[in-house]
Amino acid sequence: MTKFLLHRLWQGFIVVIVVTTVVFVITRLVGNPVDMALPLSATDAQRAEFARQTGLDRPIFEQFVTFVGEAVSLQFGDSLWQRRPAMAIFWEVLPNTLILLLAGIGGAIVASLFLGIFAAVRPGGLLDRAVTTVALVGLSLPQFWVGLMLIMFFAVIMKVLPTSGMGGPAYLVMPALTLALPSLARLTMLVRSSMIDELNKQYVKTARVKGMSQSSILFRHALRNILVPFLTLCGWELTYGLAGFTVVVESVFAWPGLGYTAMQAIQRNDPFLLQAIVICISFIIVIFNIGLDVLFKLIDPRIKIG
Amino acid sequence: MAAISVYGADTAPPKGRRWELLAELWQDKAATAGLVAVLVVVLASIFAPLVAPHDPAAQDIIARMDPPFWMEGGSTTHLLGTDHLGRDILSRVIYGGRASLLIAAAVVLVAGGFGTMLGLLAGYRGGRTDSVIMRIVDAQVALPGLLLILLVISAVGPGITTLIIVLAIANWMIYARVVRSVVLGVREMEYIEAAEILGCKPGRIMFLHILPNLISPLMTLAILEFTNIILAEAALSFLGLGVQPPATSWGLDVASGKNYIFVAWWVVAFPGLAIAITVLSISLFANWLRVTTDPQEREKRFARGQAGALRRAAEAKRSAA
Amino acid sequence: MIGSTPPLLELRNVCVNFDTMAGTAQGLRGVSLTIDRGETLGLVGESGSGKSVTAQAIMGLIEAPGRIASGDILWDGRSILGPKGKALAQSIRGKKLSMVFQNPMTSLNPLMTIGAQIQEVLTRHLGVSRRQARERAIELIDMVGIGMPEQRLDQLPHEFSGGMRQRVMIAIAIACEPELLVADEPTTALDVTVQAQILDLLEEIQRRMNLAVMLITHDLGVVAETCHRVAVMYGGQIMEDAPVQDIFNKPCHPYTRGLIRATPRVDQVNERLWSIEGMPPNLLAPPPGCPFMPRCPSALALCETRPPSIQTGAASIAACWNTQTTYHSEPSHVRTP
Repeated sequence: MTKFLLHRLWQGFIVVIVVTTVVFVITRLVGNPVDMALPLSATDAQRAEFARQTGLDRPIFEQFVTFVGEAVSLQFGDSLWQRRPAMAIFWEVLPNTLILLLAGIGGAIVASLFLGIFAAVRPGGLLDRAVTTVALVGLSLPQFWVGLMLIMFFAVIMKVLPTSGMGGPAYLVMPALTLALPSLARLTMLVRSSMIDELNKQYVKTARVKGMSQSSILFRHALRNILVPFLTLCGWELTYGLAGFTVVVESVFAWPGLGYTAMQAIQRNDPFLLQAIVICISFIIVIFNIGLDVLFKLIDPRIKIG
Repeated sequence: MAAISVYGADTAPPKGRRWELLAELWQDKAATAGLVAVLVVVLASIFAPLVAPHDPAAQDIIARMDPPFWMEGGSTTHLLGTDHLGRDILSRVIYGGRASLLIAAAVVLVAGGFGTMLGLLAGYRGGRTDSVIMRIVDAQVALPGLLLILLVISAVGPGITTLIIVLAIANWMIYARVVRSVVLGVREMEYIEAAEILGCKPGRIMFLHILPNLISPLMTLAILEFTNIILAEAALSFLGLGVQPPATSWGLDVASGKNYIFVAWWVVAFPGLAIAITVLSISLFANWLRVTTDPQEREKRFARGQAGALRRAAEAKRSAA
Repeated sequence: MIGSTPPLLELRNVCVNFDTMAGTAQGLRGVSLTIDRGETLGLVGESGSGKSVTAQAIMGLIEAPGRIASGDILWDGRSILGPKGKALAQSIRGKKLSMVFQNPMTSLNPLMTIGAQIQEVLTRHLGVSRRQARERAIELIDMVGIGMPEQRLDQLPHEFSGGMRQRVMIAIAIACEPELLVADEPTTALDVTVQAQILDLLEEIQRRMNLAVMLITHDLGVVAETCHRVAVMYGGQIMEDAPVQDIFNKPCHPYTRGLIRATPRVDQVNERLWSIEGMPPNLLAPPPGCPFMPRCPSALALCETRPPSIQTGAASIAACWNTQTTYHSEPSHVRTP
């Protein structure tokens, strides 16, 4: 276990190095933060002054060392837009994204288990066909459009929910629903298909022959055998959400999370804030994934991870 | 099930196979509808100048935010109404498909081509080449995908070319993985070994002997990815990081209409509906295709249908009694 | 027969169909069988003859695309099929009627401890407490010959060998002291040395608990050693059903004779193995008459119509038009105990 943990930490460390380098290359070599931050009308003198202030006039290698140092110490300098440390903004908006993820993906995880299992009980049955149809449609709808249609229906026509922003629980309903939809569809389909496979296995026949009840077969016998693929996808959905895929939902509903802030950083020409968000999120994803691997090893002792 | 063996069960005769397939497709109404809708969307995009009733960019200040024809105040000149600049929505939807389909096709080709090459290389060469390529694939999967895309676009500036390159870079790994796993399976087959013993060059073996085995899984994957790219392009265009005005795209049209959702829902609804219908139709047809090309899945589908029919018959009998 | 106690289990003309794309495959075509209390019935036949389908039908395991098309299955004289028999079927399954499968490697839940898999039967059917169930599980594990039962109880199936897993399966099957145990080729997937051990174990348990066993196998040697009565299946039908001595000493059905002749013998090393010529019938379009007719060396024109079950002894029947003429022809060379 210790060896495995060290191995995963080493892998995670490499990913972090790669991300930091990639971000550096994209922002400093492919793009130019000076151009991004200053308006086109800025004079050369203004540009030079800005570059001097932010250390962008130094040799590129020196810049890289400074950059890595910043990343390691989680000090990314000030946001140009809000004139305060980028990290302060990051810590401020991170909980908002986590709330959204927890409500949306968490809800999808719970709901998908039940929908998928009950659909798998009778493949081709009425419930199964209804679930698969809804899942297929759910995967085909563009998220931003679903969000706008929800706003139109619940906020404009019915006037029961607030259109956007963050406040009480009512503000969470539509963003969470919108975020949940594709995840719910993917998770349900996974639960359904792996459950159908599992219910055809010999040990389920054994359980039937033993006279076990249907609920015992579903939830006691089969469920634990689909847990690893299911939790893998759950972890992937959460990672996917963290990796910026809440941007769309947060933008539609002006939900002040990481994605919304990243979009603001782009629109307000704030390359430093954007960098800070990208790198910190990668750190979180790496740590999260190591945690998941440990969890899987605990669930299924047969898993051998080198 | 395994206990019974069906002896002498004929496989489908080669004659008239195509017609039989079409007949089988007709049995699945959803898949048929999907195929028809896909054809309509593709043809309408290709022949947009002939099909579209108006110039998609033509503004009409008098006819701003006209509703669709069936609503009060709507007219048949603008079947699906007009947007905030008085542009015809139907025409914009028809033209918008061009950008979406073109970008998706380009991304699938670039990412698919690149991923297939690397997957072939990794699977066929094995050893160090394999581990280096697969490390890159793994590392890229662990990166915060969309945030990096945002970073790149904000650094380089948005545009169709940028969009294609960025989406291709973000999506080639899956092809490499699938191709590699197929190649690893095929490599062990006797006929590849035989070809190697006969002295075939590696390049020849790869393209002549291994590539044919990849066609079916690659087709399925490419179709699936095509729908994913349509959705990704729409999302990026919606965020203002994809297709830029004055060009049109479904995602962009939804974005430009979103501020008017309180007064003119149709400006947002129809372009979004176009995305949904296109993606759904492709998925429906692809699903059918996947099942049909897999004999086992096909038998299962048949069995499910039979069981459903029997159950329905029994239920009907019970309710009649 | 009126007034006597009904047999423990009775199959009446059971037909099982499988709906496939190529057509309807007939898995069972009118199978009638009885098993009495304490009796060991051997069900023999080649692959595809319907042995396993029979077991599945008894255990209520026939699922789509398969279905029981007609016939009835009676437990102690009462039907366990259909909506009316559902309650009875549920009350006996796992308790009075249990089963051991062919492949012990896949028959146990890979993620549940052996103990949990044994105990759940006990808590479900006997309503005992967890502690009692655990004590009983230890007894059972010990009884089927697994050492260190207390430690083994908390292990997962992958820590057990194939033979040990089959012992666990047997422990589960006999946990509630059933009246009938269906064993579907319980030794086929095991090593030869382990096979004998498992069979011995089954025999010992059968004697000790006085339960009825339905042993499905294609190994006639096993049948000769362990069974009281034998039913020979072919093409989804019962060809011959007779006491074990009769089957080996005076087989009535040409197929039974072929089967016995095709069994390898230790004392004839150099002789070429004999086999019945031809192929088993196509289940999608079985011949209307005797299914064995196309391969039968003594077929008659009459065999084009389905033969009835003809009484060939006090407790023997054979489904053959030709039993009279073939009654004493070849003595068997397999000894019965």
